Amino acid sequence: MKNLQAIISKTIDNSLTQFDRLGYVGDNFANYSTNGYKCVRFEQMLSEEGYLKGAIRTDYSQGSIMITSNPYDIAINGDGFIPVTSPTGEVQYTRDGSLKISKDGYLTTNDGWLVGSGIQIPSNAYKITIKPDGTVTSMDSSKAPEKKIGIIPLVQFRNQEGLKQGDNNKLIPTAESGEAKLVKDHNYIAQYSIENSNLNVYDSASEILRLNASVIASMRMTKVIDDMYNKSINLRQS
Amino acid sequence: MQLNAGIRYIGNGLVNSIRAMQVQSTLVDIANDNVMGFDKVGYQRKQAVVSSFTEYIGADGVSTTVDDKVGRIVNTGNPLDFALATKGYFQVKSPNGVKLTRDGRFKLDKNGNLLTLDDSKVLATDGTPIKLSIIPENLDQVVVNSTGELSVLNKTKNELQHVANIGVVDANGFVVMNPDVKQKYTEFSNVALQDEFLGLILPTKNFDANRQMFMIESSNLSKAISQLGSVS
Repeated sequence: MKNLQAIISKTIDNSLTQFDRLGYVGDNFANYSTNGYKCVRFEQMLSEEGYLKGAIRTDYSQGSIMITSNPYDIAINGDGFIPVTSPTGEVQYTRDGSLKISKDGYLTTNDGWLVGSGIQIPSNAYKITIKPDGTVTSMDSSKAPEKKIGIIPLVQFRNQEGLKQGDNNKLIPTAESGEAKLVKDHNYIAQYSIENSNLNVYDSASEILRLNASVIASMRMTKVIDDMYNKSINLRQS
Repeated sequence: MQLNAGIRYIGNGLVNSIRAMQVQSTLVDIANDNVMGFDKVGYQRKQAVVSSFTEYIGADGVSTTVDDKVGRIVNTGNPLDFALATKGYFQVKSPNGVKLTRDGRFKLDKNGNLLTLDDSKVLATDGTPIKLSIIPENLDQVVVNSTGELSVLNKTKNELQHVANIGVVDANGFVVMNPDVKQKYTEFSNVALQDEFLGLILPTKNFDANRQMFMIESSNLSKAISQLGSVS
């Protein structure tokens, strides 16, 4: 027979886990307008002994692509990441392609990380074109020939779910993700585009409804057990 | 002598009432497990079985069986989420031996092993762990048909390459021939919350009734002790 305290601790365990889950759903909503954001899912596992475990999964499905008018906006339409180098030389990976030009003329991310190992845009460039395979070309005037000035690299991982979330929309490789592998022949990069987050608002709303029902049900059970507990303790009153 | 017999009778009544209260709290515990499992993937509702003689042996007479109706199947969009639309279980190899589960949320590691969320290996029909021969670039390249045959896209040949048949067995360990595996779906529990809470009314009221009986018996007993022997 289970004692009443064991039942209460299970209801509390479940309620607290649902609040954790709400936190992750909230995280996803907060990043609804983050470029290239990949949703995280909080998966619960109920063990045979009756306690809960959680696992975080990242959903790497493709986000929708939005057309912009900025030539330095690129989206990845396919699998892969752009390696970026921090001012201190650290390499991380991102799918956020809203790039800009730094004061030295280098193509950088919004927070100043170099794209690849550095692509310098000539200051007199008339037109910058980024090809689907990542090649960056510039034209000095409307009639001048295209000059290749660099290539935006694209890498893939054997197990992208193993990547760790870093700061500012970047990902850090781990032992589980495997090594970054350069993709040579691809057509995944789209200029004048931005990848939206892959959040499905309806799924998230339905998840909130489910977790809400679970919390309410567990709280109601706590009340039922609490009544029984009280009555058992006060058995002598008559 | 009559007093002795009376006390023994009342004593049995007290013990019976307490026992009945314990049985009712066990039933509430089972209902609580179901409430907790309500939105968990692959949970199967527990059904309490109160055997004969429970009034003599107490909560030990209560056991549970599993309600194996198929639960609510929900689309998730993840190509490695599988649901069984028939009765049956996936076999997974955990450090504590082979386990059966209806939780079909799987993942791939960097070597291509098909794992459950807590890193147990998913077994094929021949009992060996499933390992993908080709690491897919995109999870959409992993395809499972309704018979549980798992294949992966071979990019150089541009065709699907057979990997393994996902092993699905019934509760007795026999292979289910047509498991009706649904890819990109997960199965939530088969618990209906309203049923659990409606089912709670009986045990709680029974608990209250036995508590009242206990208190009546208890007061009768104290009356017997304090008044029957008095000479004033």
